Amino acid sequence: MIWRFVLAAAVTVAALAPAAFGNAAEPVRIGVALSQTGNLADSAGPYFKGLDLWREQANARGGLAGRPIEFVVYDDRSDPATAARLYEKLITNDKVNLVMSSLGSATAATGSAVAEKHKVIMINGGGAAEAIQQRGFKYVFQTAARISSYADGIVPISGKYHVKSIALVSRDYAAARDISKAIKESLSGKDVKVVIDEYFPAGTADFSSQIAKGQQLQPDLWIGLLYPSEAIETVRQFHSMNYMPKFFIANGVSQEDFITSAGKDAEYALGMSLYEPSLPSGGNKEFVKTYRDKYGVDPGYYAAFGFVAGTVLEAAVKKAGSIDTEKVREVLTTLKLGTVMGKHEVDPTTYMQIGVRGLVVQVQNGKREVIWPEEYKTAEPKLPIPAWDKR
Amino acid sequence: MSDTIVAVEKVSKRFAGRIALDSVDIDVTRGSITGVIGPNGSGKSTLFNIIAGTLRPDTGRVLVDGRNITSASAAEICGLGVARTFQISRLFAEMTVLENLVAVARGRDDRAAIALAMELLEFLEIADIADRWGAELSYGQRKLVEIARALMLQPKVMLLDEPFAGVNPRLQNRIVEHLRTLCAKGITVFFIDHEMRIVLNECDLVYVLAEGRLIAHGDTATVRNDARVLQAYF
Amino acid sequence: MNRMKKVNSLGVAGVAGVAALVLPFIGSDYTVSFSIQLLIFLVLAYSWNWIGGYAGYTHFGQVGFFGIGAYVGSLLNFHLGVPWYFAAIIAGLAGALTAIPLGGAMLRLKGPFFAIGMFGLTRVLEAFALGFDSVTGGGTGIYLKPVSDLRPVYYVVAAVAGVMLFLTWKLDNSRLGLKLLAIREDEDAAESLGIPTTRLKIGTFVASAIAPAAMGSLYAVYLGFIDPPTAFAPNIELTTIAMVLLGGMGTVLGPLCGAVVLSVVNELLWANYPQIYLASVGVIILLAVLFMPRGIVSLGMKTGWVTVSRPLFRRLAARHGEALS
Repeated sequence: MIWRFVLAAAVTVAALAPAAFGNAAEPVRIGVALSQTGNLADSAGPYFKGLDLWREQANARGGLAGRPIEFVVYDDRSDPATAARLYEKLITNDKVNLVMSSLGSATAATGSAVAEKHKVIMINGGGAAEAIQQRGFKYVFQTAARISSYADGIVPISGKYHVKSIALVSRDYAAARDISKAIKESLSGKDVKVVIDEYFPAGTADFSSQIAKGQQLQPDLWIGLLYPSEAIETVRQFHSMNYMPKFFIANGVSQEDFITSAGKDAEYALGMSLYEPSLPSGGNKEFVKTYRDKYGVDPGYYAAFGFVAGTVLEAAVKKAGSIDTEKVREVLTTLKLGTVMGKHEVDPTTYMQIGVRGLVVQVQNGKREVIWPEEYKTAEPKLPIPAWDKR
Repeated sequence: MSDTIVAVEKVSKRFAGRIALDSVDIDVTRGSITGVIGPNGSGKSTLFNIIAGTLRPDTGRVLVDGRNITSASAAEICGLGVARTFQISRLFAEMTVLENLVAVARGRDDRAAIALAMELLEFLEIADIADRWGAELSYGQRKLVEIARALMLQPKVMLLDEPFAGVNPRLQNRIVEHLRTLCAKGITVFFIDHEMRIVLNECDLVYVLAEGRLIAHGDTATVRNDARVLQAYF
Repeated sequence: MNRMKKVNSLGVAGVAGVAALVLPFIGSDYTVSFSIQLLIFLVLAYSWNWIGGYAGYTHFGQVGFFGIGAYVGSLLNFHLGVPWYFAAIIAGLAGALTAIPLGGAMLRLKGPFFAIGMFGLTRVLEAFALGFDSVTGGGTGIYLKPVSDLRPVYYVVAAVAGVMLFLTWKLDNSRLGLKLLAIREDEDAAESLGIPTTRLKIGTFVASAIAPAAMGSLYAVYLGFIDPPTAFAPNIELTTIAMVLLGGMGTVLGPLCGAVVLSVVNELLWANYPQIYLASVGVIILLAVLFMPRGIVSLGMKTGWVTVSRPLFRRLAARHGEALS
């Protein structure tokens, strides 16, 4: 009899609770302009999956300041002007509490200007350009890794292995030019010569002329800012021309396609990376597991960008004790935090991300292993890269 | 006033080796109606295009009012007072008849241009179609509008490219009357056609072309009785 | 007969003008933001309509002038602190200055060669903006100080749109407009009837480059940012042309109708069906071109709701006729 009563009471409470809870705590609405169509759609998909996974988990923990989290999402069509218009809509029509940036520097750039104008907090989780943060905005906080983080590992690796000359061979696209600039800046003043500096147009598949140049000029380090398909072609053609620089590093190496398509030729290649599922950072195992359970694939760095943006916001609200814009803003200016991408920390004046560092990975036995920075190492580097006949 | 307004001197033209015109000489007298006849392929259109400036002769020259226009552009020749019509009507299809006329008018005054256009349409007895689209006109109407459009330029010489071809005899007679009136006003009419009846009855002077060569010229009676013409034509 | 029912260009302009004037006071910032983008497209559509609609020289390179303007304006504003409205004027002049030699060279081409040639030229300009990064900031782009209030930008863009509408109305009722149409209809015939086609073509091309370049500059101000893909976006080009096609090429109200209809449809469709909006817009334009080859406006003329083109000449002709009879 008592048991029955308890059961009935429990059911009643369970049934009523959400309603009661809902009345007491109106959801926190977070606006996102997301590129669901257009050229950024492929990258924005995982970014939002990361965000949404965070929302689910955060809601299970009680939401933000006790209020459930709700996203208001619009499609910015990968267009900066549309993004600007949509953030106006999110902020002035939908009256969201705060906003997350879209993925991509151009859309984040225009969206952030709107957030700043209305004094609404934007977590810049998807805009990698430094310039977004260098405009003196007070309400925009970068959690995304900066574009130049890609180059973070180049200088220490070059120093450690006494690299004297480098070749830069890149596909001609905006990010490549920015990363290339960051690499050259970080190497300036050091005793390193750039012996090849070339951009090739999209659609190029034959790198024999660049490789012939390499055979002649013998750069120690070959840096490629390449799409995966181009990274694959590069190592294949290295092999067929029996050429291997002492160090070969490319961002395309860090994509899954590279190992599966290049096979044995992929071995020893170095990759610039911002995030790896194997990264031994705090909470990463759990993130990778829940992400894989929910979406059936491993998270890449865009997914991590989304997840970290949420994580940082949640920590800030928790510390501030409310979602009051000024209070949360105050916390965000100095917040330091461990995330699945490593550390979160912003520059105290520009709120630019300075905690997240780029990684260097190496393909070893068909797997990407982190070889830099030391604290996240998952394997010892095998360098310099052995010649093709010495394997 | 019986001086020469258009002089074609020893003009030759070849297309890919084939002779289109072979050393042709023509004098068009001011204020006359001068016709060029010849079967298809005799070089009539080539001759016309050379005078109008859309083709250049290989050798020889063309004078208008004593000025050498051999290397002048079509627009420049037009500026000298030579206005033309086209064999296959080239009215501006998506413009009304009135607009077709007004578009080519000279001078700055819109009202004057419209008044002149309406006057010309009335002269040609087609004022009722002033606001019809170029595309909806009948074949004969097009011929008349082409003439009206050329007259908008207030030319000294009218070059008419087959104005009578495919036009019913009643309209042919009407056109002839209009041309006569123009002549009386001092406008020189120079046309090509293969409509023998008109050419051999109405022209002051006739030139006969065959295979790029001038085979006869003179007044209508002379040409009508020329053995070579009879051989080429009948 | 039902004269009262007819939509008159000036009437439309009046209503649109009043609406444009009061909008910032009654609409939200989002409405203002949306309207700025609509008006920028309106100006682009009117400019393109001059060379593409009236003179018949359709091309895919207008966004090249837009991009040049965006960069000229942004660089002046960023490096020299030139106020944005002044920078926009200089950008417009820069557009014209670029168009003069370009028109002389490119307008020798006709039809698809000109259309595609202009497209290629725009891609070259984009590559230049990307590669010349010591000046243009390359792929990073240029970050401007964002404007704190959109309303001044809105009014400037609205004023330019009004001027474009007025100038097009003037053109439509002038012999200059007829001469451009003559070039579109039959350029060789026009030439041999004494119409100075080369001069008119280049003049129109240059005139049609000024406002887009100024708009590019204002666009950068509005966004607070410009980079090569944004400044030279093929999407801007295609949207502009789609608007003119939809509304009616070579008409006064065509660009207005096309820009308003397409922008609103875009916004509604996209809000509700983001995944299919591109396809839907494509289908709408396709249907429009198939079933209303002369655009919405010509449909309006046929049904008698809109006054036909170039009313002035018709009126004068009618008056002339009455005077005679």
